[in-house]
Amino acid sequence: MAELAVRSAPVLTNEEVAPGLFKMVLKGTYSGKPAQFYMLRAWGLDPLLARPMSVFDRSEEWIAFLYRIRGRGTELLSQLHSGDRILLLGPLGNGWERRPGRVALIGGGSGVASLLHTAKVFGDVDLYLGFRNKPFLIDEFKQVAERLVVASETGEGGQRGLVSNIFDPSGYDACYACGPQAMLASLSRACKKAKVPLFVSLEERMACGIGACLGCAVRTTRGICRVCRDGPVFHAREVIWDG
Amino acid sequence: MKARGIVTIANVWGETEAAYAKGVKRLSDSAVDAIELNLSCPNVPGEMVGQRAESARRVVRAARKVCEKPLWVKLPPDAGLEVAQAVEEEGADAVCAVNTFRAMAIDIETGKPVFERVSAGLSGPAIRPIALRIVYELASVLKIPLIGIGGITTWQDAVAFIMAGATAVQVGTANFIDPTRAIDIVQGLGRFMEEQKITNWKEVRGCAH
Ligand SMILES: Cc1cc2nc3c(=O)[nH]c(=O)nc-3n(C[C@H](O)[C@H](O)[C@H](O)COP(=O)(O)OP(=O)(O)OC[C@H]3O[C@@H](n4cnc5c(N)ncnc54)[C@H](O)[C@@H]3O)c2cc1C
Ligand code: FES
Repeated sequence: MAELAVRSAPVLTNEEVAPGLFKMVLKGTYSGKPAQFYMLRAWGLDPLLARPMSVFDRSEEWIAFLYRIRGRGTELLSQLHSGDRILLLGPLGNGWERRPGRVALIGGGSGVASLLHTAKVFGDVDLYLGFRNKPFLIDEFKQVAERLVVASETGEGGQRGLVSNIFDPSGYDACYACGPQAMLASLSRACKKAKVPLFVSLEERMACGIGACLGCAVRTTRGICRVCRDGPVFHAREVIWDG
Repeated sequence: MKARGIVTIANVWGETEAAYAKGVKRLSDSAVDAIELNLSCPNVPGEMVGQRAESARRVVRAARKVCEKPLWVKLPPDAGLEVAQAVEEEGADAVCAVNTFRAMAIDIETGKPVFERVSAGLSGPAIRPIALRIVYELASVLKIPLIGIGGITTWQDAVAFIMAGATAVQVGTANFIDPTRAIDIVQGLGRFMEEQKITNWKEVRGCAH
């Protein structure tokens, strides 16, 4: 069970790439399929639990995470400097696989974090990114997409509006999405109508990340599933959306 | 798990006395090494069986009748000494204390409870000093072995529970922080034994009394 061993990695860089948004690069060889995640911890027992983060990017020599400051855990992560050490457990969860044909990736908010790595591994994808205000890391995303469509709620740096309203699934063979629940639910409806398969990467609060605590349970058509172990990737039609 | 030599203890919970008995019977006929009756499932609404001596007594009696394996009984933190004594009288082989504390959180943005069922079980280091006190108190009234539980995260925590009177300890939440934490605890206990020249934990068990 090598995957269940916590490893300690040195921080190479940890920079604020947009207000409140940090990109942290750790030294070492770490595996991880697109949409898989790691549990990160840079503290002792307070806060108690590690925090789940998707793989943003990686190479043979390093792994990168992109995270937004939300509360204490992410605040502490943002204070790490080059040379500090961080504990990580992973890669965890099931990644997603590229289907043949025309593929679209849709991301909203910090949900865009898992799409850079996905786009790199999948190759030949159209990328649709939604932001609340000013878009970030657009140059990096441009390099990995055939076509990049940027939307923001304020209209800054892209089309004005929600990416889920701008995106049209027709013509695609498969779609992959990560972002807020409301965005995923709305994409799910659109893809169902267009008869295009949609895979979503869900986020739930997680305590263990390895399927032991049942803290991340969601309702699906296959019964109650653990996002960490049975997901985080689900076929959108399996998910029972709230409301 | 059996094939790998792993001791397996099954935890069972039921909605009625009959359901408990049915579950225990099935487990007793299975390959598990021991059965832990969960009298305190905090994640279900309604009263917990383990809170009152009479209901605890009935459930343990029903389970004991059909159980040929060691029968352990896990208690909620607010069970009280009478419940533990009733459980012992009904033939339990060990008492496990304590389960999680019912607790809640409120989302101050929505002004509503965070959890669907309002309360949920609080575990981890936050409950450890209270759990230790309860184990200490139970140890002074029980004759059967006591298994200490509640926020044990380090080997030092485990030693404290043994000194309070526990024969064994369980580690729950700490596994969620680090799946190999239990191994660290076992290794730490071994080092402590060597340093303190302890040959059997009996020598320190309950020494705090
Ligand atoms: C599989 C997975 C992958 C993730 N990947 C990323 C990523 O790549 N980049 C990133 O910025 N974030 C990601 N998240 C969300 C991230 O884990 C949380 O934002 C983080 O745990 C918050 O920790 P905190 O201590 O800063 O905040 P807390 O103090 O714990 O909470 C602060 C706020 O964040 C919210 N929150 C807490 N946990 C989550 C969660 N799991 N999902 C959504 N909101 C949460 C709380 O409701 C609260 O409003 C991911 C979550 C999951 C489950
Ligand atoms: S986070 Fe513990 S089961 Fe998913």
